[in-house]
Amino acid sequence: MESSPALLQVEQLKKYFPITAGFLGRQVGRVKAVDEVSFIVPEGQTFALVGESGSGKTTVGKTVIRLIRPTAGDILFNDTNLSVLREREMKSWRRQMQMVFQDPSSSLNPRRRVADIVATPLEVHGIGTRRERLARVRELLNLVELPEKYLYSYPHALSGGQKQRVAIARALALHPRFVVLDEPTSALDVSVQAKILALLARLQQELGLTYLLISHDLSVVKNFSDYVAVMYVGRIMEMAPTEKLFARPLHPYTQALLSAIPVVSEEELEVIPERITLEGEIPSPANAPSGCVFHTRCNKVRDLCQVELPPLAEVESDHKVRCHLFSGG
Amino acid sequence: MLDVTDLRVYFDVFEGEARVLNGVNLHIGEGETVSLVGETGCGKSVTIKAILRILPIPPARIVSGHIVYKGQDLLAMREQELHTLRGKEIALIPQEPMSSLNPVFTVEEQFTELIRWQGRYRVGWGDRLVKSFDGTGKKAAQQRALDLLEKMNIPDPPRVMKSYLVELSGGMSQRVLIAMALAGNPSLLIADEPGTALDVTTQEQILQLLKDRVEKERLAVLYITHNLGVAREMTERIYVMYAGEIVEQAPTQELFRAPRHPYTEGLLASIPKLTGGEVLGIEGRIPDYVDPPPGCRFHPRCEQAMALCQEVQPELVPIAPGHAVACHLYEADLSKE
Repeated sequence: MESSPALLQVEQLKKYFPITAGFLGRQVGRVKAVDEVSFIVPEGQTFALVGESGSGKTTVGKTVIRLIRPTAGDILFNDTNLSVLREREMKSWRRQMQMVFQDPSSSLNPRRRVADIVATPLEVHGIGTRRERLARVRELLNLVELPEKYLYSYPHALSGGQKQRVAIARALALHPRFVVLDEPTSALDVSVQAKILALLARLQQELGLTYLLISHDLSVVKNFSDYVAVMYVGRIMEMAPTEKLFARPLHPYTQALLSAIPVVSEEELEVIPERITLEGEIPSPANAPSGCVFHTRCNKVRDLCQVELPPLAEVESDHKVRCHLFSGG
Repeated sequence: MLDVTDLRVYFDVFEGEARVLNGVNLHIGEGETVSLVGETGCGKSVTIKAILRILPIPPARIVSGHIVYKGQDLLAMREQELHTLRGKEIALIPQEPMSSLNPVFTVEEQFTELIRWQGRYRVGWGDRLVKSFDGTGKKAAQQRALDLLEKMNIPDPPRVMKSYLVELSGGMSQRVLIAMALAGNPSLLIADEPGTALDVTTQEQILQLLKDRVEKERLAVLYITHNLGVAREMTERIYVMYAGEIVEQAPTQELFRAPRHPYTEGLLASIPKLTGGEVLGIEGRIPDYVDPPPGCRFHPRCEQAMALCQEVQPELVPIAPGHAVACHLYEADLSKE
């Protein structure tokens, strides 16, 4: 049901990290951070990855732009498979894909001034003369609504929201088509969050950007994404257009997640499932449960769930769920 | 039970005098659940540290005000007396569970030490010797710790007792901290951002647990949070704080139904809602405490600011039963009546 062509298509993406022990560094296990993840991001749209600790969402974000090398799977960016490219072949592709990180206090070099931070991508790719780069930096600060007086400030002189604007300006320096937003507002206060989200929405409109939004905040996701995939311990448990997922969450985990949101109004209470308090703890991806990874906490668990992992199946048009309740188990 | 009156706390910093708390008034009755809501830098941590008398003095200075707990003025008490208060009357569940437990000791070691020496100002070698030969001291403490951990719905208390912080998850360490806070049978619990550092489903578990315990033991609780949704769920009354001042206070339902202060309205409007709608922010940033704006501290960011707001600091005036606002918009209304 995509109205625009896919800019990014991820197929069966896997990222396993080795666990070593002993001083010889023998591999004794694997952290299956991302396991068989597939999704499509249409151009100009926002695809959200939602999940809690250990879900793998940040790893997916970093892997699709090749900050981390995938263990297996295909990453098709505009029909080119990025997972098979060599590092130096990636350089030209990186101009089209950028990332904004969660905590602006740690993603900006505290010893460099704003102008230098924003100009860095231009320097790395050898673009323009110093004068031209400065002009572009001015343009970018304008774009993110940061007054020029901060050009030569250090990050510590800026507020959280202002720092994040600098991070966004830096990400846009090379005119990318695709931006991964890793929890872009989690480190910010609520009153600032709203402004940054509004800025990101405006930029998407004006520049035709495609976003991969990684977040644990469902309220943000509902208002700012077109598609959502809910991840748990490395796997996608449910995936659908945002409206559909929130209107009819099918997976027990999605329902529990939605029911746990501390809402601020009666109206919102009516649109989420009734409070479900899950038992137990989130398992570590180094030691994922057998069968369905969610079975240890599921309030609708059955015998089959402990043994067999359900497939991610399309239950309704464009609405996929990974649950035996829906795949004839 | 706890009355904070006109609390002013200043910090002496390099740039000058940071006038952080500018006359804070709080009241918590027996068995009440109250929250103090505000964003980063509004002074909520300073407020609770002042109540617990754990402010670093210097650079902090309690300039004026009273903190009266069960009839006693906490600001007039000496350290020895405060030691009997902390933990046994007023307990704190700190923020960030993963940074609040001592990583070098097991839960058992930390917890039993807390139980055995709670309320004591000085513990000499004599005391320690006596208690260890006594035998019952340590065993009794261990048993009490186990009982408390069980009340926290922890599945395997003996295993948790033997664990180090690094072996515990965020949710588990938060439960341990809550158990430790309840060990002294306090009457007032101060919960600093419970659940903020945790995943949503874990936060949900912890908040349910807290609700349960608070109800069963009929504790009074002061929740500190920046999350209005959590405040709404967990408390009966809310104080909204901005730049070291209480700008609005009301019973929970009333605050969400009829927020009056422009800051409260701005906050609510900034929260993305599941029911959609535009999400606005609040322009500007928190003021510099060394050189705060004259008059109302919020006026530079307020869309409804009037000339008066730059000159005169608004007082907290009641506008409905239990509902008070510090804003000239409402003082004007009252004087017309």
